[in-house]
Amino acid sequence: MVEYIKLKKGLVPASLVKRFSAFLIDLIIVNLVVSLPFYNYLISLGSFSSVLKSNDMVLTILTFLIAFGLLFYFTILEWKMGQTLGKALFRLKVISSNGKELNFFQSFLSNVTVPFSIVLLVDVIYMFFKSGHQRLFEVFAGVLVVESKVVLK
Amino acid sequence: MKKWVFIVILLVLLYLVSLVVAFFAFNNNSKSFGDKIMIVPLEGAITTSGNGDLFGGSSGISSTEVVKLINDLNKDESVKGVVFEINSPGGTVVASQEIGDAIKKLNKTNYAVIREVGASGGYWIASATDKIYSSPMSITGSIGVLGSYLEFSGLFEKYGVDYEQLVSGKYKDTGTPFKDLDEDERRLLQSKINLIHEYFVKEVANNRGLTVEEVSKLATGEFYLGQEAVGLGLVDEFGDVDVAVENMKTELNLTKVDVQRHFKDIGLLDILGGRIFYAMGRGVGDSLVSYELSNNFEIRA
Repeated sequence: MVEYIKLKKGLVPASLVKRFSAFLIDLIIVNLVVSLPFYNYLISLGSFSSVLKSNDMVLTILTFLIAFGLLFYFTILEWKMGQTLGKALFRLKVISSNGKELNFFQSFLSNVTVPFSIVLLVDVIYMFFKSGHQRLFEVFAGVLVVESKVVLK
Repeated sequence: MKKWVFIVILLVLLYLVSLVVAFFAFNNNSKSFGDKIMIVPLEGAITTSGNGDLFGGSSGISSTEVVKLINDLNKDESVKGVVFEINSPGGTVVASQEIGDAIKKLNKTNYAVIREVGASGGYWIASATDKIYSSPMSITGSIGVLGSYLEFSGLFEKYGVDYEQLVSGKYKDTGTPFKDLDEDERRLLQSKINLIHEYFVKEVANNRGLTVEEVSKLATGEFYLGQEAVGLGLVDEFGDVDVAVENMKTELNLTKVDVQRHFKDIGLLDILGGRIFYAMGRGVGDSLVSYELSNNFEIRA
């Protein structure tokens, strides 16, 4: 499939460094936006270690909110624009490996592991062994992340 | 639609969802899945309403807020104990009494930890708890009542300004800054202060399991360092918040407990930053109201 894209569109798979950097930026942005209303509360918890030890309900709600906020963010932006903010900054684009336009289901399926850290880990480890650096669920969804000259307008 | 606009709209949407969830999460009484000990910081002057600041927060201790918080803690079954971390030189009498009374109604084990200072009204609050901890160097005690006001009559006289006020009761303008107190008025105000002092002494005696005579001897307004206060029965033990929490865990036989520091309840207005404008508006409003008051006599504990 990667070869097909290369041939047809002159695109190459995104490098791992760029993909991780883009993901990190998206992670930071979503965390900041979602956590902002909880700012005073997070400060009140004190040190990071006490945050990790806490069994507080608000913290649990916030964790879920961030996890599903990330899923929402990746799914919608990649479906509608083929890029998240992080990917746009690194000029990466998400495309369907069948050459057609990416649909909602593909976008959702490729990102469904984002809220679940253990599954995401397996999903990411798979990238290192797969040509084209596809995550496992990107293979399931038929999705590729490629270098792109397309930037946000 | 430009892509940047779409991203911004999506992020705003995420923020708004988080905002709404935060609003409901913070207004839920039960905030923990397990047992917890709450640390409630009480810092600053004690008043009934607190003081709105320009940064959208409320500085000082508002008895209205603290009493509400204590009522909420009473209803929260996951809260097993409360540690009040006090750093207050005192404040108004009614506000101190309101918080003291609320603490006595608290159906959880509760301790006070006096940090730098827990004097006068601050000590009143501490005395209402089950046990008081302090540093050997903390300032505590200062059991007494203070009545004060600024008096400008001399200044007015110097600049040839006369004070005229029509009043229907003899003591109606007692304590106005524009005229000197006469003997009668001085006696009247002193008698009120004495009454409050007696009440304060009785409260402390009752709270601390001391006799009124014992507390009266200490209630000269003198402040005591923590190391003196332990010997006088005003403080139980030396220790900071960590010591108090550990001792509370032992007393309650809690092995797995979440220790949380209370944060002020955050409303939508707070989150949106609207409190900044509210505080500014209230500051102006307060100034206008206080300008209208003819009597600025203030009694503090």
